[in-house]
Amino acid sequence: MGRIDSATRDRLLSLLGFVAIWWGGARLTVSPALLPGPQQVALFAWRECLNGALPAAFAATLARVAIAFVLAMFGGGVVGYLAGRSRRVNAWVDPWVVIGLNLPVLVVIVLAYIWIGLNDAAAILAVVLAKAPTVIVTVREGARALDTSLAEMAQAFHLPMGRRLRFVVLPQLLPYLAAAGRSGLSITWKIVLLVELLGRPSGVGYALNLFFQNFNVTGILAYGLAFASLMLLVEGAVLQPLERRATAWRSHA
Amino acid sequence: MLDVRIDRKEFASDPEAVLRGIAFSVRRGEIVGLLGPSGAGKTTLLRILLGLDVSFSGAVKCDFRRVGVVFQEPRLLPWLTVEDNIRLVVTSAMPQPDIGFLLETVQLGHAGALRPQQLSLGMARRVALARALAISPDLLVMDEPFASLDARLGSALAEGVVTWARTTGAAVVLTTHDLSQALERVTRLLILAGEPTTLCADVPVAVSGDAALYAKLLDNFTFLGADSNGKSPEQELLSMPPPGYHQDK
Repeated sequence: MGRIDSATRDRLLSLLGFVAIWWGGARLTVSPALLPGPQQVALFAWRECLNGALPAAFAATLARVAIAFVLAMFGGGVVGYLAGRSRRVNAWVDPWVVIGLNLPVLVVIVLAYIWIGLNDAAAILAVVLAKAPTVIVTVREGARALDTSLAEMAQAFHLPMGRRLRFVVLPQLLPYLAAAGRSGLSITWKIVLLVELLGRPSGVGYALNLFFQNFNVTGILAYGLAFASLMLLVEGAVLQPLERRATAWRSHA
Repeated sequence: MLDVRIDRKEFASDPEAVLRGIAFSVRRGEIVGLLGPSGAGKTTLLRILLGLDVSFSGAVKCDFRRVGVVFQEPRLLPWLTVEDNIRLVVTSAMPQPDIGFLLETVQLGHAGALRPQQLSLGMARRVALARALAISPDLLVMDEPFASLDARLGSALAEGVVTWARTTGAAVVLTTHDLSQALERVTRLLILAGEPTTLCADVPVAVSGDAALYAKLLDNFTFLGADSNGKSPEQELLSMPPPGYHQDK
């Protein structure tokens, strides 16, 4: 068995400390309904898993997160790249991005529901509009930092456009895309929960809304913490290894 | 054939012309040296003939189908291996090169799996040469190609390029500020000098020990001023071997 390094040990101890404080706080509260202990929350989550409610809510939310994430990353990536490469495109895009960055997410969601209707298209569009500006800004910086000498090499050798994008441009943009992706995922799922809470009949956000109306703190904690853990798992098990793989060449320097 | 006519070239940051009145052609089988002091605009001229700089008055017409380029810096992609860097520029429509053989040719047979960050500058420049040759170019453009190589290796590679060009009938255009090196290899010398830089002389270098050639070069080379190694042009000329003479290394 491998030894745990000190940073991992400290992280685990910190996490244990959080659970211990939570447990202590739950013991001290007058009403267990106000702050249930970790064991009650875990038991509730387990029961919801067994009766299928929690997996169904997770599946609905994950589908929305995945679609919105891909659309925001792709659309924001393309617009950000073009804005970074062309001053004219940037002059057109920049005011929209500034407005997008400063417009409260809640306003975007409410307007999308009013204008498009209470459906998934409006929900996903609202999430994409709320998330895309940060992707645009990050990828724009990456496009501005592209190495012109490599672009000239590709031009001098008449490389086909697909090959230029895949082998010359994309590897340089990957660190920026990875940064946008990692921050993007954490923002996206939080917005999706808000969108579901305000106007969808399924998903974790909808479940949280029901628990809120019934003053069910155990349910709120069980669904909220379980989904946050799942998102952390996705980031740690999928996004970070992808980023490491994409930038592995740097370790040869 | 490559036809170059530059009436005037200036940079946006400086309204003064850097190149003026430069016109020449390059035919198959020619090895043309662009000779001029550092800062004369040789690289700018190469960028124009490669189509990388189009903000000039004049015209460039290139009939060569495949143009291989060796830039002053290697310009390799650090995320690809040496072999993949070479393979990158070869499309399916081109004759497929033997990359192992190409790497052997530039004395890097062992380096195919390495990444550019693991190479010295000299090695990286040799990879860049192998990459340019990989597309079987009918025009090879090189910017100070052997500058950072040791004398023996630089000489061997230059000899290799000359042999390759003679065998394939390809044309070569290379820049240099080293007159003796240029005279040993090229079939034609274009001498660039002045402010703004103009084409001072277009000299065929075919006859060994041609006294008239020396005289003409000396005549034109006085425009160039002192070379970067501190020698005056005259000293440079006097210290070099006669054209056609190859010193045993």
